[in-house]
Amino acid sequence: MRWWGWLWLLLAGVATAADQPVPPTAAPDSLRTSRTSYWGPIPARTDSTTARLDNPPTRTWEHVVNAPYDLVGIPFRLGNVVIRETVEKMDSWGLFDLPPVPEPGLPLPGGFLLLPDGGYSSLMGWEVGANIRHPAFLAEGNKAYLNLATSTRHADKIGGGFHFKLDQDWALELGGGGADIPLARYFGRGYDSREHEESYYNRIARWAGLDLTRQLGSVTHTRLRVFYSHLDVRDSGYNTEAALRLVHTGDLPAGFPGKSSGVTTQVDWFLDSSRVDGRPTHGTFKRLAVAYFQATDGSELDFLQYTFDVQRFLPLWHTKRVLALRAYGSRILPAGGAPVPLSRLVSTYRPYSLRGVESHRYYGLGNLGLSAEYRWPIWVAKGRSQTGLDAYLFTDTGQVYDHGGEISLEHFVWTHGFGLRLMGSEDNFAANVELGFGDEGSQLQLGFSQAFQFSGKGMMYGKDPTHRP
Amino acid sequence: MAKIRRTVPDGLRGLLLFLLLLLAGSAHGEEPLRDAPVIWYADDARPIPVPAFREPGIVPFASQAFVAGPVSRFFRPSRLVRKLDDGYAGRPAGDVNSLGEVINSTWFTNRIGLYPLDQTAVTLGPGQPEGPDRSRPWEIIGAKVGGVTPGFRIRDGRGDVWLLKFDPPAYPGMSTRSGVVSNLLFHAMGYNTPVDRVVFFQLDDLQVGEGATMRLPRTGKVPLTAANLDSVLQNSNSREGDHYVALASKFLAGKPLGPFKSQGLREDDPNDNVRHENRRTLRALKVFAAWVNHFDTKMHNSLDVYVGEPGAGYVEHNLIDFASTLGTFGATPVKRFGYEFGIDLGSIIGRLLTLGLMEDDWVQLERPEGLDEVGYFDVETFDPTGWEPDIPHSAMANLTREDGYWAAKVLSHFTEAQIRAAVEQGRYRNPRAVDYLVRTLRGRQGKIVRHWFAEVPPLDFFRLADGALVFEDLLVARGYHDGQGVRYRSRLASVNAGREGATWTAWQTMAVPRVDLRAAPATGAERPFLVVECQVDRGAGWSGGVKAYIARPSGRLVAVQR
Repeated sequence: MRWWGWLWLLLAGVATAADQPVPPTAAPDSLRTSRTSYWGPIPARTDSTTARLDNPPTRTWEHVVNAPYDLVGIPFRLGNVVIRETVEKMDSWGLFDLPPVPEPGLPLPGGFLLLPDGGYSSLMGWEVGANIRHPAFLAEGNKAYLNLATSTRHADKIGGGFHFKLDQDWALELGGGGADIPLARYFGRGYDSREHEESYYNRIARWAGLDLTRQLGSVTHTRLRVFYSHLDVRDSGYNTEAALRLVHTGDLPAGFPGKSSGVTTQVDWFLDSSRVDGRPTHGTFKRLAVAYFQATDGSELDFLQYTFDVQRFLPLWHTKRVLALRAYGSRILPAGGAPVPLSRLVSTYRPYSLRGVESHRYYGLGNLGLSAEYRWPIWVAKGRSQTGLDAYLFTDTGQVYDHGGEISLEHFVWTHGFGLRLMGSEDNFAANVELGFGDEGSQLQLGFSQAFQFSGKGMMYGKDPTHRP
Repeated sequence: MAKIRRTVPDGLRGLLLFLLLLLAGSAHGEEPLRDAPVIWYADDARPIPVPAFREPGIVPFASQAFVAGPVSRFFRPSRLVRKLDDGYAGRPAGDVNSLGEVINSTWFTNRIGLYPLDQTAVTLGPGQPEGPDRSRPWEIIGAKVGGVTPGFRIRDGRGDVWLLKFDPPAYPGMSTRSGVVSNLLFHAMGYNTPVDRVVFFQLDDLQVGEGATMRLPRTGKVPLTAANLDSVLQNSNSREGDHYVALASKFLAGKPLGPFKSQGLREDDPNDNVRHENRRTLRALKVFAAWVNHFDTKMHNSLDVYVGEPGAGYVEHNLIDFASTLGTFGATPVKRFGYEFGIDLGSIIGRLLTLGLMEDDWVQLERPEGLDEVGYFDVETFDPTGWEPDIPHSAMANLTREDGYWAAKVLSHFTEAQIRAAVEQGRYRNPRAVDYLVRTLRGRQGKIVRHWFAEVPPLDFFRLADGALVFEDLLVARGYHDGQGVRYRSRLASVNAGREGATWTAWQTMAVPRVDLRAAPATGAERPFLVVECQVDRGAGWSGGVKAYIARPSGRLVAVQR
């Protein structure tokens, strides 16, 4: 042991042995019986029964053992002072005293609300943006929404729209947007594309359209969606050494580089008896969609696309333990003479499918997948149906295919992982963070989307409708 | 001759030596004995200038309480050493006398813990059992609408200002009643509390004062009129028969200074010398609050008031707002309250690692059937050692075994009749609610008392009588044990002021808690104190010892050591 260690021990030992705390002082005796207690008579208040209290003395050994802690803790205590002063200043400005509003967000003029947005994914990198919404645009039941975001992988997005409640059963949404993703990935086409053939391209999308929704019953509704989309896939200005053109020379996907424009007409049927989208403990979510795309760019591209998504929420042994199951798929049936270009292919896209692999890892004319999640609550803010945090374990499996004959369990990719899901009030989904694992590594996702119950977002939210059929 | 090589590394040897030195010195040292009267009163009411009003916001407070405080406590080495020593991390309390009793002060006045109290004293509490004076209509001088519950400020016939608080519309009859009951219980324990009473009134008993305003959540202040007063009352869902019911809380006399912290000192109060986390008065709240499930012990439910003329007064420390007790909560009763912190990392990590395969006990908690005035409050799932407030409390985190024992001792004095008398002041509509609450409070009391009386032998209230030292076995005296098969033993020695130099006599077994001192060893100038060590055996072996110290020159009991 070093000499300073022995010196420290010696000091501690001496201090411990020699410790003699100083008792509180009291004046000389003067008793006067007052009131009989369980101890016998308790004397009245006099000088001899009254004392000025003081803290119990700090033993020398306490100073000694706490010395390293006090020293190492200096920067943390300084940091705490800064944080405390900042929070107190924000509190003095009344930032925490905003009156309760039905919708979250920082109030803006005109009744608009501002919320920060952001997240992380391997496709977009770290995203930062903002949502501007109006919960009662022009009239109760109407909404307006705008989302802008940029990211560390040079991607920019803008999207938004309006929701108009026409009557009790009908609603109209108008929306549009654009996205510029300079580092979209392409590994090759088909279920057997290879990891080492990762390449990059620039995907630029523009879209605008409408949704007309009709409520058919308490849990079912149908939707007619018509939208125009213009997609442009080209060489990326980043990571040029891994450009798609270079990596897949001689096997470039159809439509690369190139543009594709056209109109999609789609009919969806939804059944959702789960009631909430954050922590459903029972019920079913079903979606069937048929879409027809016709090119307006002069090409002979037109195709039908069928999509299904079936989800079931099964309560388990304890309160709010849920097994969520999902089966989904999509299939493009070309009708015209032109091949389906890269920009229109079905691809695996996180967090909606195969959460343990890169987004757009697989491309094909169709995909098929299964997911299972075991969910359990780990924290609730107050009661069981309010703000809280769930943990979940998941496994996803699936494949893409061009022909039905390619569908085989041997071609299925298996991924698994875990995550945390934050619930807002009334069990509604707020945000999540999940880590997925597959044969090709791990994938982190942090954001405001989830694999289950995502299909319900309408055009108003400005999500790219060509990505998620 | 070959040398034997040392196999223990130098660093580890040093660490072990250090720990031995520490433990040999004892992490909890005792004060020297003095042949002087026991201190019963704190000199903490000296005249001081009026301190500044201070009330931190709930967010700054919560951020420190949930993060900075627990992290600091977790990593502090001296707390770990004390915990290794006896399982508790707190330092000795600074507001207790040599007998282990809390000293009367501006924080606390010994009541049921020291003196027999009759039911009248319990129900009288801080006074004015009839509530606001009714010689004239109550003049409304302000109102708050929205938020969890509405409330009115009124001035009664005597000119006193009261706050009228109503229950949440969805849960009429819960918080108002529990607030009154718990107020009386805490007052009987010894805390300073306002006058809280359940009051019944009609619209004609109210009169809108001139200039009275109503604060709305989004609009701010608007004039209060008879019309909107009626609307507010209608919406409060507080009607019972032809009366409205509310909790009337009298404003404390004096100048409000804001809440007191559970840690540190009030810097501008020279009388505040003992750090709050070292006050048994505040640390014992963990036991008292567990009894009635007073989970909402945040600092904002306390109030310092300056009593007296400016420059000639002092600060008095009060507990206020007991509406979130007995399983109720302002907005809606919540099962989790009292079982873990609002953000409890230990529980969160535990649930994460156990993959949800285990269910928390409190999840299955149900309100008693047919008793809509009672919240989530039971005995079966109650664990005296596992109870936690919603927001971490620095003083509670420093609870020692002596603090817990003292609190249990105070609680053990509550009889069923006294508890029933307090609960009946809640004016519950359903007599079965009274029975349920009394039964539950008694059950929780029993769990608390049995736990702490097992931690510390409950041999107490030593007194000298006729040449003997008599004491009480509180487990028997309070009815938690029938006394069958109980025996005691004692031994004596003479010691010096440092409690050293004992040469013990042989153990003497007794059937009753009484030690004959006639054969006590002689004391002298070098060892002027007689120490009597007592133990109890209830059939499971002898307990730890409790030592009573007697100063022979004066013949007075000067200290008790547990």
